Amino acid sequence: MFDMSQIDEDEFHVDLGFMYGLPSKASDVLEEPCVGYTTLPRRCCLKDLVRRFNELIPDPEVAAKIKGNYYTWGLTKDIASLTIEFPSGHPFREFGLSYIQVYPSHKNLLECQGHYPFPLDDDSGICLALDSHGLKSLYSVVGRPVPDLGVCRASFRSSGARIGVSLLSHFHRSLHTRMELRVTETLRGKVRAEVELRRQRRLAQPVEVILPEAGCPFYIHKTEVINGFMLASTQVPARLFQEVVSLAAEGHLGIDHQKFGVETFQYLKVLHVAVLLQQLPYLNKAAVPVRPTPREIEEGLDEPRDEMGIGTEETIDTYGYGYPKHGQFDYVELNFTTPRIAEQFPHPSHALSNIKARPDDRRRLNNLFQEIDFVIGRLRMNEDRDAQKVLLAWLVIRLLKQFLMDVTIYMIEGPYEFVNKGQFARNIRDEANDGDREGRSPTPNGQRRSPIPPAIANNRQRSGHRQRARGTEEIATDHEWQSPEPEVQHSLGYSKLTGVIDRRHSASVRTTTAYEATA
Amino acid sequence: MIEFLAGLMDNEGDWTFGCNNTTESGHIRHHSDLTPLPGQQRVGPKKWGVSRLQRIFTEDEALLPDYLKSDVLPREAGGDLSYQEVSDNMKKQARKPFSHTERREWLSKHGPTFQKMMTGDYGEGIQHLQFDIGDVCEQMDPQSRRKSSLFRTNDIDSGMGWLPGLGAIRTDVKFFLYPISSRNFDANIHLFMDIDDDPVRINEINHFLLGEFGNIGGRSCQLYLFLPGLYSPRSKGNGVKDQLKDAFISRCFIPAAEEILKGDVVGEFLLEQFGAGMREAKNDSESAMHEGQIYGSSGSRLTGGVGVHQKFLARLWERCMIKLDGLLDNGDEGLLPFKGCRLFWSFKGFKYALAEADDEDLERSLEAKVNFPFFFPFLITGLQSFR
Repeated sequence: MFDMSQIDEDEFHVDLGFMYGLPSKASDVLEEPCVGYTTLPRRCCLKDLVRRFNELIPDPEVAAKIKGNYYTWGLTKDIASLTIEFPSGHPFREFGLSYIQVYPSHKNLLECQGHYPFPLDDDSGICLALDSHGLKSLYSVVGRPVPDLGVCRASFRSSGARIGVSLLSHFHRSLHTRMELRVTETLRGKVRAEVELRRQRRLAQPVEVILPEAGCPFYIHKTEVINGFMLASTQVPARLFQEVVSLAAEGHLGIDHQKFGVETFQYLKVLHVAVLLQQLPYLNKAAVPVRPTPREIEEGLDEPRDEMGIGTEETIDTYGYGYPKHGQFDYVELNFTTPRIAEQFPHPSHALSNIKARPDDRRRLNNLFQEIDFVIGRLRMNEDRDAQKVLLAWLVIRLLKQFLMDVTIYMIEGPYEFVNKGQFARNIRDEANDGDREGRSPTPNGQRRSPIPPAIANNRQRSGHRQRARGTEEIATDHEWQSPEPEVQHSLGYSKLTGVIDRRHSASVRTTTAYEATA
Repeated sequence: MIEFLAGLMDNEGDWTFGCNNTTESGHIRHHSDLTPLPGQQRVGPKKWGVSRLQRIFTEDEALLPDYLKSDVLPREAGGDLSYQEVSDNMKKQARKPFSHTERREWLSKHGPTFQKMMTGDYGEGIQHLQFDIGDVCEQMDPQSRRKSSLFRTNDIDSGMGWLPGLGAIRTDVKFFLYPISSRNFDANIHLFMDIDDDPVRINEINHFLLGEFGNIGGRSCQLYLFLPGLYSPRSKGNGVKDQLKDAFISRCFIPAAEEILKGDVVGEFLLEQFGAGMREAKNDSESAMHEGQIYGSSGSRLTGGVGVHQKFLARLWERCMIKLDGLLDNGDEGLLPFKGCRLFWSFKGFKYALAEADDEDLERSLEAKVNFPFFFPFLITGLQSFR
């Protein structure tokens, strides 16, 4: 297919693959299916492989040490997959070796055209757990249609069935461990020549005696055992998830149950695959440091804080398997063990992976939801009338603040014109500047205070750009400029306020028309 | 380095990596730790799995997820149904609400069971999972644990690299006159290219699918044109705008093809095909607004594909590059991003394509499957009808 005389063999890369394992064998029992064996790479031996590569580096001062990425398989301590990507300019890459991976081919049971069940960006379970108002608001912020929960349910069942049916029906096959090396044709030729030399040397040598304790870098178990382990590992949280989302009508779970459901789903997604746990902080760590948002910095709340996570890193190390950290979840009550723990878990929307646009607006919405959920939770628990009054008053002020902020942004940054709009904007800016001169300290990051938080202002500018690029007129149904949907579950007052916003919106449209007519 | 890799790839030798694998003994030694752990119980994957499975696979199937109940499982997975029936049942079940347990029953009966399963604590200490418990390796004779015994197959399932020109290809090539960007690399391929002395991941450089060729196990090699001149670390995506692709195809590639193919019987036929390929896109009833952009039932089909015989390839590319250089010298700024463009091939086979039991067999397989010249059947048929 190629004329190799014209091709630079240093620029011709091939993936050499090697499979190791035991073949399946006929069962001892007549008419029983074959017995398959699954070979799984030992994490400890993979570490040794990386160590050996590092020992080969001619000048460690010049070339950086290779770290290797260890993918935790099925949340177990003993088994892992490994990838090594040699950085550009590394001596091994100069030799012609660019990439190595070692992994159990057990995952091929679940593969279909490169797609696996419960991919990490699968949001179906999160949408099923989230309350419908929150879900609508989040999707409204990014201007996307709300997912159909029927489709989410079908997706959950489809992914689950792909795992369950494959594991229950393929226990008679052997599944090997695979090692793959991406090498240049030049290196392949050199290595082949060296292997040939070794063969010839071996032929001349006497037969080697193997010590009885000599092992191999793999675990080998019957496929039936491994499939049973994986089935047990995945199906228990799957059923648990079903129970949690069925605690209330769809889209009406309380905030703690939403969090519980989302964390269960996130946990479920990694039980059948090998994953880089470090990239999933809320799954990996029990305490996840959270950086303050630009708004929090502006308001002087720049202390870093921790949120809670499932903490599998700790349990993998202690128990050899990533149980959710003990003492956090109550599986009888289907809730967190205490409200304090529930509060420290992040808002369930943090897990949505398919919403990326307008991060500042989403953060603002999440913060609002979180604060309101927190206060409503306190209101429900606290029976002291005075404390309730304080909390209700706080809630009203918080909603009014949000309302004023939204209206101000909308009026000043929005595309509608009204009489003296420029003057209003200047007045607000001047008031803010006066406030600064009168002793209000500038924000910690050196920015000047403005009536509109800088993050939101930037966000609005970006939205405006996008709208211009699209060349569309703003209409009442445009999601980009709509306020969040009324939070019926949370507060009646808030829904009234949003009604006011909607009426103001219509009023502003009328004002614009009148102004245009005058002009 | 070569020695180490040879040790890694020599499947008749022994393991050259693994715990305690010292050069003196050359053997791997693992020590299973079975000392008691306070508050824990060491178990292997078998016991760990069984202790959960026996609790969820109850007779009434009350604790199974909906999709594992026998009324939706095929016979092969222990259910009662044929695959057709399974498929119908799953469709019916798909959008229904989840089944769940009555709250009171959950609190009194099933909740405590799930508490045990999720914490791994069944009353004898928390289950500590160890895969060396019940490891079949431990029961095998040492000879069977050697690399030569455990080695099953080796294979080449993918390949890629730069091409100096089309002349390096020894089969016919099907070119796409209206390339689309959805076939671009969307993941890291672990190769780098130096642009302005900085290494850049190849998959991040702007490129498009120019054609495809060959046939390895039923799959073809992809031929890409990379435009390092268009790459900017600040720009998003690795696509190339339609007008750029169109400029190259219409001002360089097609005029070069016309020059090279004219005066040859096969060439005249191919020129006819070029015209047909271009008409195919333009006659589409749900015609695209931009070239290369296909709507309607045709989906993401690449239109305007024209097979070019291998004998023309070297001259075609040479002529195409001369035309490009000429236009660039004349100040054609529309083609500037094509300055320094390079051809790249890539092949991704079915899982573990070309798998063989040893090196020799693999070499033979490569010779037979990869280096065998392949002709498009339609070209031969077309030529016959042309004559």
